[in-house]
Amino acid sequence: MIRGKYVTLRGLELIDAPEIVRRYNDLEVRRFLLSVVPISLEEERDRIKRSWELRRKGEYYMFGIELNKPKRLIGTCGLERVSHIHRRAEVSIAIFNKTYWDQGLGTEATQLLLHFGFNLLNLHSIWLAVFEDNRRAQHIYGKVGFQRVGTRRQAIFRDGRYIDMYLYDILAEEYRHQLERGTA
Amino acid sequence: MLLAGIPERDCGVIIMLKGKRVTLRGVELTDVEEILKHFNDLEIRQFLGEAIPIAKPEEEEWVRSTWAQRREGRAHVFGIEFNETQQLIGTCGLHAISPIHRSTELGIAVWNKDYWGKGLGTEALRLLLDYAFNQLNLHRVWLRVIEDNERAIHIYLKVGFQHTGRLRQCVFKQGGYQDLLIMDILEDEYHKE
Repeated sequence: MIRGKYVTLRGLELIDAPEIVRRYNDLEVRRFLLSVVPISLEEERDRIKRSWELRRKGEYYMFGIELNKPKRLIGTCGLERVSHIHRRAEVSIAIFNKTYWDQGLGTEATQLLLHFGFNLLNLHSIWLAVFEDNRRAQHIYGKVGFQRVGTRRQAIFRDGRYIDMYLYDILAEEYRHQLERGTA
Repeated sequence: MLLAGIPERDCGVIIMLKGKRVTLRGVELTDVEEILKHFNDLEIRQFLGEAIPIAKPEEEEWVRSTWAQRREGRAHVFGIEFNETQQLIGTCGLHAISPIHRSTELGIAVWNKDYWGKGLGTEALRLLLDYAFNQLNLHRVWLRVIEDNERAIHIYLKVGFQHTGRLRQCVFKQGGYQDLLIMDILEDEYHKE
């Protein structure tokens, strides 16, 4: 469990499934997520169980984002595709409860993920892909120290057209450097 | 995506390590007979912990387990093959890999006595260290060696290991206790060598 001032990252439990399914089956929430296909309660329970196994194997660390006060699950995030040889992982994150958008909670969750990845998993590089028109997320990633390093052209088909995905990454030394300067 | 059984995330790993006189390659079921011929020999086993005989199915199971551990990145076990005759003369490996701490325990045995004293173990060791630091991106390689195995200790020191610990009277062999030495080498020391 990784505790921040406003949110805590914790493992997911089966009792979280109904809230996740209810919130994720909303196209506005999915607007900037990779899949727009509805999920069922049973599928989500299976996904949570699978996340425990992948966590044991060190391949994927999935967390729930819990608001500290009041205690409430407002999103999920994780480090996926962990490669131990190359020491890198991909960030995925979503605040699925729209009430809590634009309050800096995603920023803190992303910072906690970076702390987990660099200080606890001993990773060398953390990267992510973000929709070209997801300005809010891009702003957050830039703020916590990611750099935009490339574009996957027309990588996603959404709402009748292809859109680009921007690639961002941050290296361990950059993370440590900005911690020292107190800018993270 | 799977490429020859290697998860996409860890592609780029070299599976066969070719040296001038020896090559490190994965172990196969067809190697079992040769391994057992030598491994069930007390003179060999006196340096390797327990000197209890091994049966063929047990050894086959061990060979299979090395494949699974290699796939999962928990251990990388190799046979040591003599280039000139393509004969298997020993085994070695990186065990108990901890991905977060980036540490692994090295083990090596040239169990065919005809090939002792020719520097082949030293070359195998160098190939294994290169693999550990330059391919697997590890931070620390350590090993255990029984104190009376002076030949091995000499080789370990030669390739850059340091003697960093001693577990007193840790091993009982041939009627008496022996200390077990801990030796290790860190990545920056390796790259300085």
